[in-house]
Amino acid sequence: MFRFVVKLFGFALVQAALVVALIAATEMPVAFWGTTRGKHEIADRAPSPRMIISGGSSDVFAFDGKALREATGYYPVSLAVYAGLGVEYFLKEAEREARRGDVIFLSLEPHHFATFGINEEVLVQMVVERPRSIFHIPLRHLPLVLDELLNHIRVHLDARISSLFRRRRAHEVPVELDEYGIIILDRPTPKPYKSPAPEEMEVLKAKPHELPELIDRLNAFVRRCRSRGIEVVLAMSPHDRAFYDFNQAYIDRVHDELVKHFEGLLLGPPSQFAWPESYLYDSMLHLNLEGRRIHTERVIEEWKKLNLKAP
Amino acid sequence: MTFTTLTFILFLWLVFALYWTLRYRTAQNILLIVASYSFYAWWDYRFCALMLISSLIDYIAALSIDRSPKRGVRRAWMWVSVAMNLGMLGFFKYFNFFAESFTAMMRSLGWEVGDVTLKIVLPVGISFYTFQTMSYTLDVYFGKMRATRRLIDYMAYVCFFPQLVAGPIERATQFLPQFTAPRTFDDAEATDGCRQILWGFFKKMIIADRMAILVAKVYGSDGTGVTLDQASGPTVIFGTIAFAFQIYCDFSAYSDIAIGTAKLFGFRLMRNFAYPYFSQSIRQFWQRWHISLSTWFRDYVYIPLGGNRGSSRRLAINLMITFIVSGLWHGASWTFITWGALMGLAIVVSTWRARRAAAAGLAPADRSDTGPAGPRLMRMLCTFAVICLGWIFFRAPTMASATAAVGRVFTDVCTLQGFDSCWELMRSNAGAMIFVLIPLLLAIEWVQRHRDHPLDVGTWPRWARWTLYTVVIWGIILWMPKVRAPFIYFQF
Repeated sequence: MFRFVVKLFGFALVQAALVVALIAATEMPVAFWGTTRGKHEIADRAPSPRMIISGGSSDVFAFDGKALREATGYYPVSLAVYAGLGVEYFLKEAEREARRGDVIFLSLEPHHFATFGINEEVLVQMVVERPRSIFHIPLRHLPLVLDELLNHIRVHLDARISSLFRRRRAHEVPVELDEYGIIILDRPTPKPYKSPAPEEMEVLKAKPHELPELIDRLNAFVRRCRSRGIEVVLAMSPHDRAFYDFNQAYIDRVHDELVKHFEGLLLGPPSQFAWPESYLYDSMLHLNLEGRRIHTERVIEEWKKLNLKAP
Repeated sequence: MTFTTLTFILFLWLVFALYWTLRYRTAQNILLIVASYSFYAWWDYRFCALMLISSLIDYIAALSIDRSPKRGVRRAWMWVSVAMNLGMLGFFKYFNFFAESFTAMMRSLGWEVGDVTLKIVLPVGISFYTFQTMSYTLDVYFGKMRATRRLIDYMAYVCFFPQLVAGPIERATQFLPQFTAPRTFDDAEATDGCRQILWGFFKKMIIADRMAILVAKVYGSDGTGVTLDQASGPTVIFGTIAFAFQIYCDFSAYSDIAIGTAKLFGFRLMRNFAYPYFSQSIRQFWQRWHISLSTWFRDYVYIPLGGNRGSSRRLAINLMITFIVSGLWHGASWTFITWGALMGLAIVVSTWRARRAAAAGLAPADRSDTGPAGPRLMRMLCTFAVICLGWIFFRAPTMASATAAVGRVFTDVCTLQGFDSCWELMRSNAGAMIFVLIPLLLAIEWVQRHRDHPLDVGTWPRWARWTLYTVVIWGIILWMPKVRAPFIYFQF
């Protein structure tokens, strides 16, 4: 038994040495998912009171941090990375990050209020990039996350070996953030966004229990945050006007339900945050620089109605 | 919990560490039961109740058979066990098939009958563990072994997690005594177990899962809306060759991982595959493919029917019945029954030829492992072609599409248009892999064909072994497809 265990550990050590040698010989640029580390570092450095912006990738593009700071008095920090992490992840992440006096700005995408699938692959990326992210993952997803880890190892090692031969992959394009954790849009998108035709448009729908459950979860979150002296503001993230028009009945119904039942502060209505395609960057949820400016102005306008100023 | 996940790897080493920490056999068996039920509950915890009921009934039935001197009572308990196991299997696996077939037959006779299908979820591995428990009761009934009183040993035998879901289907006479005997850790066995697991991972994650992408394209299960009916003759041939290697690498990989895992715990499972695509006749193929099931059917269906005693006609009937039942075991569908019948027919012909050769005082050609390579290779290719013909029925979604595909194989094979679409497929990433992976697999297996498994390299110097393991591990990690297909035999 002892001999076997020693052999096994010896072999594992050889493999580990190979991995370490590979890591030492290669350099990986910070990929998009890796921005979560930088965002949390910004959050740690940011002066209180802060505005913790949480949501999908739309929030990586949506705000002008400086303008928000000047208008609200809060120091904005966008923790947003990717919508597929799911609302539960956002809530846990924001709750762990927020301090007394902060405000959490949940800017959720319309899809989060409909039937929505979590992307375990990206959950794994989050854990690999920032191991503490494991605390943000709902327990029921952990086994799947573990299974996905194998795929991640594959992609990561492949990328490192490729870099030995100076081949750069698309997902290795470095991402730069400003001091608010918001992406710096210093180059035009290679693929400008075009609204899809109505027949190609995604239809938002949910099972009857899903929306009430989400609102209950949000309310529980608001209560927990308020007990710690943290305020919660909820809004619909920026999205394509054509998408809004196509799903207007559903999105407006969601807003009506939130007006009736949500216990936190609500910005809206969603039509205020629906923008024509000329304001969008590379997807129906990502704003370009002009879109970012106008959306931030709209959010500030709505924010003022809440009478929420930094203490 | 699937073998090819990190969850399983962690689970395996955790159970392994706990298992060898325990000093008493009973404690080890209890741990195996807990681990096996947890492993099974990973799919759906409700299935555990079914396995528990099946185990307990067979335990009681076997004990009652063993204790009773009266032949009638013994027979009654044997039938209780058989009826319960087949009833359970019949309900979960075949109810809808027979109900649909009955309804279709009634309607064809002009009687209007309402639909009677039920929404039944097939418990994973039910076909495997019911056969294993049933064989225990039958062996006790036929006097091949005494029933065990030790419930813990018996339960551990039934639910032993490495082979629970897709075999090998172990016989109580061989396997149960291993649970009652004291066990010691064998360094060489455990090391070989690791090698066999590694080889299983390689076959499943590199070959089977890559072939699965190609097969899905041809057989229309890749979600693109293209169906088997649209595939040309050459495309069907190409896709079926890919499927032949997919199913082999998928299923034999499961067996390799199961056998390797069992070795880590000090158990020996029976060999399930013995390089079947090097068979020189259908008869030989069935001695090398899914050996645990073939021998199960031989012992509990074919021999009770009369086996090879009696006339040639009787022999043919027995073989046909056995193979049709074997087809039905694989799935509740006419495609599986047809596959079974086709294999039965092929083995009847193969057996008759062997008998004729024996009557003429000649050694059967398929036994020769020496002699000119050309004829041997031809025999292997012919056997492979017949097996592939069967695989079309095995893999096709419906009988109609299977027969149409077989038709196109024989009629469409010489048209330029047919080759065009096949060429497109061959040039695709998934298609091109077939030309790399299959020769690689065949070359490795041919070189190592006299060994238990191709990674049986215990005699190599350590540096060479470790280099090989490293290449295989890194190969798996870097070349496994992103989406891993579930093991095919889970559906049975």
